Amino acid sequence: MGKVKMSKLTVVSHTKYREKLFSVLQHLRAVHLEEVSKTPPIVDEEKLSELNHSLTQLKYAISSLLKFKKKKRSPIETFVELDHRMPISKSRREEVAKSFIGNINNFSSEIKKGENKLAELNSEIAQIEEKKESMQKFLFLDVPLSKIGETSQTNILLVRIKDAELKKIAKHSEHIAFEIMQKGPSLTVILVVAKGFEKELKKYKYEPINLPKVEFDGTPAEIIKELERKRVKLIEEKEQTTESLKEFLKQLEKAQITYDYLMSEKKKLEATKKLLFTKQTFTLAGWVPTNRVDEVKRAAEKATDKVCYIKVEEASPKEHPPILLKNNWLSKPFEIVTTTFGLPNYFESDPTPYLAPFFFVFTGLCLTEAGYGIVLAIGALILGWKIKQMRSFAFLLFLIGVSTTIAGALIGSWFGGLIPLKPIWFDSFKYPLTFLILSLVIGIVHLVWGLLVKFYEEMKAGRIFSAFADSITWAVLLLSISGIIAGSNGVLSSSATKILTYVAGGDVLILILTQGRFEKSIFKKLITGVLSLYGLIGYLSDVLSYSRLLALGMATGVVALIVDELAKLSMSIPIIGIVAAIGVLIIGHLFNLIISTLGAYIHSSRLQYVEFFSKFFEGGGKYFKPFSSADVYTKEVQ
Amino acid sequence: MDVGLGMVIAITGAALAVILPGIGSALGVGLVGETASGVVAEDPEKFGKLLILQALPGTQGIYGLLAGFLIIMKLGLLGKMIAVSVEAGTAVLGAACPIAIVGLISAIIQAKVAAAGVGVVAKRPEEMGKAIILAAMVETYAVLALLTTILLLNGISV
Repeated sequence: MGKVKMSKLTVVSHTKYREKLFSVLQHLRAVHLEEVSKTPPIVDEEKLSELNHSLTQLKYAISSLLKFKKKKRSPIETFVELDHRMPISKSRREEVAKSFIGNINNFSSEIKKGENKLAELNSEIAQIEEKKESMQKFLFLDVPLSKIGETSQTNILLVRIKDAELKKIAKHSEHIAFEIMQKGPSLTVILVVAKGFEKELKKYKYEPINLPKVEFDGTPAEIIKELERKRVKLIEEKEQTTESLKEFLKQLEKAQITYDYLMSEKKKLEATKKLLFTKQTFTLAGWVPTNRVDEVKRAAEKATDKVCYIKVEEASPKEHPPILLKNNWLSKPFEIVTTTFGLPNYFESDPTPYLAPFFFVFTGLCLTEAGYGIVLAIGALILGWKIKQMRSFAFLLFLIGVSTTIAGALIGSWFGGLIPLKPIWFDSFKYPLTFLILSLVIGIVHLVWGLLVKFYEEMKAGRIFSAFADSITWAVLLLSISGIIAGSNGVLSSSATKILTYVAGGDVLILILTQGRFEKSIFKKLITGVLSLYGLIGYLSDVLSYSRLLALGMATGVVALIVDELAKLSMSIPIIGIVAAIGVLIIGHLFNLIISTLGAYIHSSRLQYVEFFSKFFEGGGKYFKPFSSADVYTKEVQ
Repeated sequence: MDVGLGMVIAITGAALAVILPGIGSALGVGLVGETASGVVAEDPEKFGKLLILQALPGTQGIYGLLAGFLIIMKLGLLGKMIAVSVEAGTAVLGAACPIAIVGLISAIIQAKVAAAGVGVVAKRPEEMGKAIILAAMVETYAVLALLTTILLLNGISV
C-alpha cells in the first residue's frame, strides 16, 4: 500500500544487442534508467543531428497543418489539456514511419512554401486594402489622377483653402484658373497655376493635398474598382493556396506517427549516454517495480539471445529509488494532494492514505452547505462521465461534494436559506463558538494522528527510543492539556482533570530530560530540554490554525445568504422580477460555489502540508519515469 | 425610526469592512492580472491556471462583504431597524476593524506572492499547486482576522 516496491536491475551484454534491448525496454515501460558511469560515453553525434533536423522539419510542418484543422474545444479545455492522442501499436508505428521517412524533406518544404506564399498574399491584400481606404477620401474627384501635376506651361494642384482666401487668389485670373471640387467649412479646389507664379502664390494661405500613389491611372472611383478586382483575385489565390495546403492534411497523421517514431529513436540514442561501455560489452542499470522484475528479465534475455548477465538487488538505504505511488480506489484520488507538495522518499510511507480521511472532512467543513454539496457531487459525476481522463479528479470532487452535503446537513444550510431545512446537529450561525470548538478538536485529532504516524515511522526504522521520546510525549502532552482545558470548562470531572494535570506534569519532565539528549554536557542537555518546551507554542499556533474551518465554513453560508437576500430584493422589480430573481440566484450561487470550493481545496491542502506533514514527512522522492517510446501525437498501446 | 449616532457609527463599521478589503482585493487581483496577461500573450493555453492564481487575492473582498453583511443583519437594516446605543455602535465599528485592516493589507501582499507565482506557472506549469499554496499562506491572516470579526460581532449584544 502507498508505494510500489522497487528493485535494482543491472544488465551486462554484448554491444550488438543494445539496440534490440532498448527497443524492448521502451515498449515495456518498466525500467527507470540510472547513469552507470559519471563520464557519458560518446554517442553517434551524426545520427543525432540528422534526427534533430528531421524532427524540427516535421514539427514545423505539423504545427502549420494543425492550424488548418478544425479544432473542437470543450470549455473544460481552458483549464486542462485533454488527451486527443491516437492509440497505435508499436509495429504499425514503425511501418508507417519507415514508409514516410523518405518523404519528410519534400513534405515539409512544400508546406513551408505554401506557408510563405500565404504570408505574402496576406501582406499584399493588406496593402491593397490600405490603398483603397485612402482612395475613398477622393471619391469626389471625377478627373483622372494623372491630370493633377506638372505640365509644360502650368502646375495643377489640389488644395484645401478658405472661401475668402480663394477670392483673393481669384483676382489674379491671368495666372490662375480654378474649379471647386468639394464645398465645406473649407473648399477643396483644383488650382491651375501658370509657371512663374508659384512665388506669388506662397503669400496666400492654402493647404496642398497629397494624393496617394497608385501604379495605374484613372479617376479615384475607377482606381477603387481596379483595386477591388485585384483584391478579389488575390483572395481567390489565397483560397487556392489554403486548399492545396489542406491537401496535406491527409498526410498529417503519417507525419505525426513518424515524428513520434523518430523521437523514440532519439530517446534511445540519448539513453545510450547513461550506459557504461567496454570494447565489447555495455552495462545498463535502472530501477524496476519488483512485481515486474520477472517480466523484464525474460524480455531482456529474449532480446539478447541469452547472451547477458542480469542482477536484481534490493534497494539499500544509501540509494534513491524512484517513487511510483499505488493506492486503493478510495485513497487514490487524494494522491494529487500529496504530489502537489512533493513525493515521499523511498524509505518512508506514502502519506496519502493518512491524509485522505482528514482532507475529506476538512473540505466538507470549509463549505458546510448541503445544497452546494449536492451540486458539486452531481457536477463531478457528469465531469467523470464525460471526460475519462479526469475520472480520478472527478472522484475527488465527488467525495468533496458528499462531505460538504453531510457537513451542511449537520450544521449548515441548504442554498443559504432557500430550502428551509433545520440543521440536524446545531446551527453554525447561532452557535459559532460550538463550530469553533469542533474545528479545534478536529485539529487536535489531526495533529495527534500526525504524531502517531511519526511514531510508526520511527518504530519501522528501528529508532524505538526516538519513537517514544519525540512523538508519544508530545501527543500525550497535547491531549492532556486539551483535557485540562476541557475540564476547566466542566466537561470532565475534577478528579479526572487532576489526574490529567499529573500526566501533563510528568510528561513535561520527560520532555526536559529527553529533548536535550544529543548535547554533550549535562548543562546543555538540561537547557535544550527546557527550551524544547517552546515547541508548545508551535503546537498552539498549529491548533489555532484549524479555526479557518469555521471561518471558511461560515463564509460560504453567509455569502449564500447574501445571494438569497439579493434575489429577494430583485423580486420587487416590476414584471421581470421573477426572472431577475432566478438569474441572481443561479449566477450568485454558482459564483459562490466556485470561489468557496477553490478556497476549501486550497486551505484543506495547507492544513495537510504545514500542520500535518511537518510532524513526520520528509519527502524528496523523485518520480518513476520509465524508459519509454515518445508519445507526443500518438499513443503506443501495449 | 430615527437613525441615532450609535447606528451611524455601526454603519461606518459595515462600510469600512467592505471598502478596505475591497480596495485591497481590487488592487491585488489587478496586479496578478497584469502579470498574468504577459504569460497569456505568449501561451494562451495557460489561461485557466492563471485565472485561479488571479482569484486568490480576491477572497479578502468577499470576507469584507461577509463581515459587512453580518453587521447589516445585526442592525436589522434589511427589515426592522433596531435602536443602537453609542457604545454598542462603537463596539461594532471596533469588531469590523480586524477584517477591514488585515483584509486590505493581506490582499495586496498575497497578490505579490501570486504574481511571482505566475512565473512558476509560466516556466513549470506542473508545479502550479506549489505556487498556489505559497500565496495561500498569506491568506491565513485574513482568515484569522475574519474569524475574530465574526466572534466579536457574535459577542456584542446590540
